[in-house]
Amino acid sequence: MIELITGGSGSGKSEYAERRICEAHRANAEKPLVYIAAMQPFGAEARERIARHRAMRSGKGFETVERYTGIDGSEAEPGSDVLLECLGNLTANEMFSGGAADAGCAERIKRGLDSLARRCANLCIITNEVFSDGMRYGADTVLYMRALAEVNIYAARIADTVTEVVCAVPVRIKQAEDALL
Amino acid sequence: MIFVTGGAFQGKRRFVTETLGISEERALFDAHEYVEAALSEGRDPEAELMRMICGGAVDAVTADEIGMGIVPQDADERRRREITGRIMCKIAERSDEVYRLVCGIPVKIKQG
Repeated sequence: MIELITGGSGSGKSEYAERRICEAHRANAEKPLVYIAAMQPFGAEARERIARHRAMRSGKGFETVERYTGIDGSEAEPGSDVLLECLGNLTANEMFSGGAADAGCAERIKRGLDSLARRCANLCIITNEVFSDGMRYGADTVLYMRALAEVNIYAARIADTVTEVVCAVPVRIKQAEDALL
Repeated sequence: MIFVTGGAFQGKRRFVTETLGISEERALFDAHEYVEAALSEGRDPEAELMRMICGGAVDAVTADEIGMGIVPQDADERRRREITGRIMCKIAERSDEVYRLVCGIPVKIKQG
């Protein structure tokens, strides 16, 4: 089963996503539980955030895989339960790691998500809502927002469940009828 | 009348034309930009938009949600954001149904 988890910054998406994938993992405990980290440890803030997430995951049995670009399913053994955090970072890395903004990165990410989804038993994907502040950004940032929106829409389409987390409250906005997760 | 809001790039236009089956001629897209243009030309966006909507000229209106960021320092930007928000409230009030798109998914937030 696939669940997409969205929401604003600091809304409690990670805590919710961990809870969900761990719940699903109970019925699949003989397989690995994998955390794919897309955030690159640049600077003190990122390191602090990563440390916070690591502390939250400690003792829950996650195997952590750092993969900043090129998600293709090889991150996890077939049948694994996977938590991918997050599409906002992954899209930024894919778009800007080559220097100039790469507007074609959304297609690559979508194919990668497909490969990963086919390989997992259960997959929770975290993304970020960054589209409602009405600000006027530069051309590269607008390209990024468009790409992330496209990836989000795609992930929501392949997901059985989509949840928006608001102040740590999960609001279900899509639920496939046969979804078990 | 159906009002469709949500963040930028969430698939509002496609939802109106493909999912709701409303033709482009019967829809007003990007009402937040209409407000901005009218304000910059010294016109009254609220009066114009409400005339269109109440007069039955359109079956659907879309607008980006633009009010969920930091209050702009620039006075004109602040005014634009505030006026846009207030007009969207009025449009939602006059609408039979209101949808908010998140990750391309329509969440019905008002059922007439």
